[in-house]
Amino acid sequence: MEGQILPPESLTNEAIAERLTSTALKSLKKRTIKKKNLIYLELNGCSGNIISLLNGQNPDFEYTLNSMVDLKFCNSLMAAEGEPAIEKLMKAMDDEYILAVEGAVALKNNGLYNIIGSWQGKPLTGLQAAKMLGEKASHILAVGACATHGGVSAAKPNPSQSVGLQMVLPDKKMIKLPGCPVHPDWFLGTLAHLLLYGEPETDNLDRPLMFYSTLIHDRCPRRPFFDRGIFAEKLGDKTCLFKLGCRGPVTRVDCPTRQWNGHVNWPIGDNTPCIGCAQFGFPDAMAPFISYDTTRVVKNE
Amino acid sequence: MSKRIVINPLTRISGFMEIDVMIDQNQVVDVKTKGNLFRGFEQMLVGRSPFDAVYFTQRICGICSAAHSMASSRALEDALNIEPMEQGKYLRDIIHCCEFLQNHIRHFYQYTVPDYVKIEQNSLFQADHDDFRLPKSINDRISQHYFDSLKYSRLAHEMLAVLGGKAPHNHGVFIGGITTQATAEKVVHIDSILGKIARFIDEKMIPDVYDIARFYADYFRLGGGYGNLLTYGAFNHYKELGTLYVDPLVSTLESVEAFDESNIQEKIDYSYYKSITNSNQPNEEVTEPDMDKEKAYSWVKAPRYKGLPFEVGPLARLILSGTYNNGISAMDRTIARALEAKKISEVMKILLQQIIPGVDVQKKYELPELATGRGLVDTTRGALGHWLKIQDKKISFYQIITPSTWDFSTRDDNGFRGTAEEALVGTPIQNPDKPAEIGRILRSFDPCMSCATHVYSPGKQVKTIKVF
Amino acid sequence: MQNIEMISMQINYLVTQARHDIYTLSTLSDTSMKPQILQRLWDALSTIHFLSEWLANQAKTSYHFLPSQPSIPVPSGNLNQSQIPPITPLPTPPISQSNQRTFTIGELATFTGKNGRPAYVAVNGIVYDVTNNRAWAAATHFGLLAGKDYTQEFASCHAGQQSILATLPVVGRLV
Repeated sequence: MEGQILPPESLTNEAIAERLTSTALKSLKKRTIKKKNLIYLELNGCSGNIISLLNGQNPDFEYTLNSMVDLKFCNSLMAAEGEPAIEKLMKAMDDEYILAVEGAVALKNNGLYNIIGSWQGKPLTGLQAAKMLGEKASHILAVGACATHGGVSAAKPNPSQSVGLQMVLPDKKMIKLPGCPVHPDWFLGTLAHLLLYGEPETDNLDRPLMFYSTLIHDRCPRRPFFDRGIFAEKLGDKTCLFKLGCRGPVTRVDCPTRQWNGHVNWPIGDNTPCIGCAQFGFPDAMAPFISYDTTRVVKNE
Repeated sequence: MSKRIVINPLTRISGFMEIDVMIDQNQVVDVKTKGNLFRGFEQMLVGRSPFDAVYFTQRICGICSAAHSMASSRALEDALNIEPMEQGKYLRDIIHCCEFLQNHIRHFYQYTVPDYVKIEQNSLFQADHDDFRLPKSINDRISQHYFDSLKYSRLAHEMLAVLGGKAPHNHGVFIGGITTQATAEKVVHIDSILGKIARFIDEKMIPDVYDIARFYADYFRLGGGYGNLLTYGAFNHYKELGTLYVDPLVSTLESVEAFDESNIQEKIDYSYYKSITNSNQPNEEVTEPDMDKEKAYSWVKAPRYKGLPFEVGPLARLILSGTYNNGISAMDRTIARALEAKKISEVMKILLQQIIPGVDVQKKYELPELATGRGLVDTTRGALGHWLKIQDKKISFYQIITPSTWDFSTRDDNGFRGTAEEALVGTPIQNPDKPAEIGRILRSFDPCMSCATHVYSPGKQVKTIKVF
Repeated sequence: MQNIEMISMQINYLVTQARHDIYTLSTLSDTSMKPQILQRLWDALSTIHFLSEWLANQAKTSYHFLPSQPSIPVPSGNLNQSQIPPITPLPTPPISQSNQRTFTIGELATFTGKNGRPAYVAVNGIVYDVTNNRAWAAATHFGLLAGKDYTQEFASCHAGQQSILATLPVVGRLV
């Protein structure tokens, strides 16, 4: 893979996800790859990543379920409830599986701040589940800001003592997909790569290069305004949002070209600063999100 | 003979919830539900820039994030003494409409349908119970709609993103209304999608819910509860349009009256908190955690209106707006969600027609040294309130009472149970080994435990956080 | 005052061009040209706005302008982007005095980047200008505020990355 030139993402809004998944479909038909088992674990978070995954377009959730993975456990979607649901989780560990985790791991009180179910009459904490499932997984995907580094769940003063998944699985290799929430393409594209070609190439922070290689700032359509020092003074302005606190210059992800929800818009397109939700350290290191007091107050505007 | 049933986790809700039910002679006699995750947003918000509250509080909940942006924007407008322009309100409310549509479609098809419909396409939908009553043709049709619906909930988020930048966790809703300006292109983009969604609701979702109701008619008699209904008002008080949906109202079995926020109190008689009094106004200081308190069994407080527990949500709104009068039950709640989706699509159409392109409603805002504000808004699951205080231009206090806190509150000093607790008591359980009834009734409230349990101050020795 | 005249000339030039563009747009039959012309109009307007703000600021503060020391960057007179030098990183102020300026920690604390003031930070006794540094949006950097000495923070987060400092304009020394 050395010396490989990265795909020209600026030309391919939907293309990466589409290309990977259509190849996946062909391979499936030729039986060159097998559907793999997926365990989707929701921990201490807002369950916004699974909602974002339901927003997947190409592939959509139906395709993902029917052609890419056998989803063995997912709190938000599975029909089973109570111990029978946890039983499915335990059974799934007998076979090979990919583990996807959203939400942070709450350490406080031995993990009792986040109980994900009951097993044999005892509470099963997110902490126990993360360690147990993480140790045996063939691949691990940390999905969204809370799973990759604690995210909002670990925001100051971190009342639940939340940490990212890696902290409780220090020796396990995992692919990290920061974002609040994750873009469905980042997750499904990474999953497709896993199924087709194995682990995607990642940077030194374990982020797939195909999505997280370039600073937002370097592909921002408002970059010319930054270069000329033309700055917005309020939300709603069409110029560079740097003085309002835009974190595009420190955030590596492909929002400017990919965009969100059917690729129709993104925060800067909505005349608001990027708040660095796909950058490690979000939210505390990215705060304040919006500042009006850097630019001069012009009274007679 | 008494039997204890524990369901943990209650799947197909937002967040984690445990139900602990005692039954006697196949009838529910006692219930406890416990919210099983905790983050402590009210503490996290203290010391942050007030402007950041709009984006920060959305992270409470992945399925109803725009709701929190609505309430926090309004609370900040109150604190900063800003009256948004009508165009700002319209655009912001259109975003809120999109979230209603996304939420209701997903709650019905992804969370509720697997309770009543045997979806055989995938082992993920294999149920624990066998109380499936639909004829095969209807069962297969609704099963297919489970998957078809994904397109429409996704499109609802696409509309949201056209004005809000992205979803979940939008950037568009803000002080003054919205951050972007409408254009003809955006208006037709949204209108084109809205037509498709409205057709799906009319032609698929509403017939589906009535088909389910026909074969599970006993659920019109289950999960009723007190019958006290409350709304902060939704899509109301427009300067020119008046009220498009429902005004702030409360009703008990005896009377209907205008809502007055000074009647809200949060009780902590049975909650792990200490304070000089056991009843506080929402904007009073946070109470101290106290796990050793006698009688206490929950981390969730008990919001009360004039001392009574109230139900909030789509059914409450439909009844209070005078457009539904069939009754109050688990099935009525489920039907109301589908009917409200239709109502919201109509409201949204009217709002879209008011849009003037190119209006910039944003200003450069300045923070006061000292201020208080509150934002009350009815959102997908019901009445949502944010209360905040600003000191030295920073947040010094933040309180959130979510709809699920109303519906899943603790009992109080007057002996009133929480709304959902009351709704479950007396429910006959056909097969205590495979109980289908409990999950169906609880899901009819669309519980959002991400919201209800994230916002309360933690104690030192917390084991579980009981939501009721 | 020579620069003010130049800016005035530039504004005149831009206005003339904008008038011409509006005329062209009003008579345009080939719509394929429209986006380009609108973009140029937009650029022209933005530049006019920028220049007028700058002029207003000059007038208000009665600041005696030193031709060699632009307090804020001035775009050159041509709208062709390739000929406009990007303002980041800011060219190091050429005048020798600025390098010799000394700051007490109290003085440094006033350069917070708020209300249009520059944003300065100190590392190892040198005071740097981060006003328009891209990693310092709204004069904040991963939770740090401008106007302070960050010698320790720099050492712990950017060990072995002295080159970062080399790209920052030096404004003086911390005493």
